[in-house]
Amino acid sequence: MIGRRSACLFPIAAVMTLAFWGDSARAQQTNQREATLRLTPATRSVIDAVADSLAGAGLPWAVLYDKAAEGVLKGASEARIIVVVRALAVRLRESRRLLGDAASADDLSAASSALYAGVSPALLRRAATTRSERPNAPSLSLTLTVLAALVSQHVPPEIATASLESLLRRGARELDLREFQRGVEGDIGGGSPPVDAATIRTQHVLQTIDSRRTPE
Amino acid sequence: MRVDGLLEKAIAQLQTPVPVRASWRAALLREIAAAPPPRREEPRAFVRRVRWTLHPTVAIAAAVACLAVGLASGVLLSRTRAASSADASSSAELTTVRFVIDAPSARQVSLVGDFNRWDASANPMRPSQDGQSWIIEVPLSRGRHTYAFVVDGDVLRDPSAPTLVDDDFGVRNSIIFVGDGRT
Repeated sequence: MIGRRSACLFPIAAVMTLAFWGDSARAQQTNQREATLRLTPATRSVIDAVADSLAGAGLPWAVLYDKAAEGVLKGASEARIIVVVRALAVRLRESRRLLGDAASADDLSAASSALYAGVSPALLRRAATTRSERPNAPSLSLTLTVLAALVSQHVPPEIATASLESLLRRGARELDLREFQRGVEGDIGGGSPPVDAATIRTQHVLQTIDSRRTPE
Repeated sequence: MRVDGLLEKAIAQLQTPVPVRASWRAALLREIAAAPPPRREEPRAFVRRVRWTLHPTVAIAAAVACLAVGLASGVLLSRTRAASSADASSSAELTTVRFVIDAPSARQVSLVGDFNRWDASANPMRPSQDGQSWIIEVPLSRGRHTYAFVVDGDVLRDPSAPTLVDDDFGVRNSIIFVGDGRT
């Protein structure tokens, strides 16, 4: 009788172990990957391979699945989704190289957007360095997002970077950068040339910062 | 051949019985008789040594319990990750953010973004009392989030929020920073 009992214990133990670990591991990955279930297995395997490659390099890989899911929602072709996911992976690697290991996933995503917009690696690194020199500066991800937004609005990258640097050096806060971005976008939307919009709004925000410092 | 002769000599030598004392032989046979029989099934020997006494029904009940624990852990883990942003390492601290879009003639509006895997069915918005806009409050983790609205099937960016530059799929997304704490 003991033999029969012990014979059934091994399969049960195996099932218990597999059920516990298998389900936990699956739960970690399924949420990231379930959004791509509407893609063909071939496309999913390509995305999985790119994601595994990023994960192996210690880079944020979940954003690739987000991007693929976004493509599915927007009705993009699978070929287009693969191209976009691969390009994003390349930019994330480049961002890590430029910003270093301390950069967060948000920082890397923002840097990736800046590179996408046309900010050169040298300017991106310059903006990041200026920000890091200020103890209470806005987050790097916000700084780079604003930089990317300005360049996408046809503000020349050099001028956009210089504007941000002057604001950061003067002690700009997160609210200031948001106001700056909104102002530039609004002015450009209203017909101002991008360079003029960036210059005028920089002066405006600098005055705001100064007035906050100087007691009336 | 000389070698063949040597070989035959050696074989003959080996075939010659070696004289053994009768007392040695008897002692050896006694030791063999006293020794335990060899184990034929080595893998099962471990099971026999530890002497499992669990009844099969108890074992099955334990297995079911462990399955339940495993499934519950998985569900809990998946909910935790779903609630967090795209970055698996981001803080678990959530901030409720209110999203509003003016769409008086829309029949169905939902919020999509990296916080819900761009799933149009995940966060349906509700119409405001005056019917002019659509509203939803969503708990978001700290950090940078990209999002858009799906209005009657069309993906639209938030006109009142900064726009993300990436337009990989034709429609740009909006962007929001939650709880930076440096305002």
